[in-house]
Amino acid sequence: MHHPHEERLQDYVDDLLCGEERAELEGHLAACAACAEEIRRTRELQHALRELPRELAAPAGLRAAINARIDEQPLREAPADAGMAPPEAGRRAIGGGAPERRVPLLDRPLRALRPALAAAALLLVALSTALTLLLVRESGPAVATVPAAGTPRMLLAVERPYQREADQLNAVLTAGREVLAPGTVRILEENLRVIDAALGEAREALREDPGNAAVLALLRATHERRLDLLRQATRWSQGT
Amino acid sequence: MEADIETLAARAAAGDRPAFDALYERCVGRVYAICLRMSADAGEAERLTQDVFVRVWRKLGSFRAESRFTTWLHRLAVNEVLQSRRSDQRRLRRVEPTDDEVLLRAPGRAEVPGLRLDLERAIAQLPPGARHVLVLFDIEGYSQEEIGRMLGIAVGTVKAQLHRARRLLRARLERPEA
Repeated sequence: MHHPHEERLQDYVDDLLCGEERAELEGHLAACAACAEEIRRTRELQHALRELPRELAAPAGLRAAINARIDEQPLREAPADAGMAPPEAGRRAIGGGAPERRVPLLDRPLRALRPALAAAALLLVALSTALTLLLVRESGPAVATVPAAGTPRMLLAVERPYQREADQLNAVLTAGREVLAPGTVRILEENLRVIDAALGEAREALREDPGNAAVLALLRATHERRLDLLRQATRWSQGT
Repeated sequence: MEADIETLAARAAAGDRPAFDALYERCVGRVYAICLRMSADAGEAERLTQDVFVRVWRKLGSFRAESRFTTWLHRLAVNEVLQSRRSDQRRLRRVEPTDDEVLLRAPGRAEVPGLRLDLERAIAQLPPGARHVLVLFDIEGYSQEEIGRMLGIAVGTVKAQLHRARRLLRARLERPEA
């Protein structure tokens, strides 16, 4: 008797045969006890595997280790795609879609990164100046940065938490504005304008290239720095 | 009332750490199981699970619920294991499979039934290629096409590895001393 290949039997167990192939194999199984037994044993194993728990108890202390790592580097990266594909730069995409959907940062054309890099450089200079001045003088209030109308929903979602905190800090800062010297207020506002310009550039770049992970990361970093400045100024306005 | 996972993911995506902690509690068992079964190494599985959740926190900003959060998370975990295996030279040497019953305990279960433990041990002793395919197909439920894409191999190779894995498992379970 001619027996089907073992992988064909496996396809039968896995329900991967078409109607005609299936009927042909079932005809053979009706007459072949050895192949029928092979099917039975494979199904038994498959059943046992599917019965395994999908969850296993994670080691104690894992959560604390994760929290410690997140706290060390709280800054969030921005994935390159806009959806839910595995967000590992340069990795093979999983579960549909073209592989290598992302371009590693260093492989991206520099042209795409230039505005954001320039903004980041400018930002660093501006922040150094601002924080130095704040430390030797006093602190001052701020203005809000608001994404323009027509900003993509993804971008709004990214910016919303930053904006929420900035609004709260601005409210405190406005209430304590009189405490700060006019010169401090002027410098603070000047530096916030620089940061807001950088945010504007990053938003513009993201409207053109929403999948640009590097620019999205810079946008987040710029927001973080903006919040740092506002927090510092708020502390000074409250005399702390 | 307990928030559902998609709601928690949306809140965590907006920077809500308590929501992220709740997500961790709900999902860590599954992520750890994927990492442990695929790596067959308890220490490595712990490190990989850490990496997965740190990565999730950093990447959640893009979460837009176009697919289920858990689908994304589990694929991220699989990716993490595969990427680690590709990049980590330590993986070139044979890993020692875990045989600690505690490490294979399902949450809330006091003991591991003997047959299940034998099966887990047999899976851990499979060669890595066969083990990955078996875990992804028979336990995690991915299609052979998906697995082929994940592993960068042809569907025919997936079938061959699956057949090999099942044959080895059966041999080990039917003749434990072999």
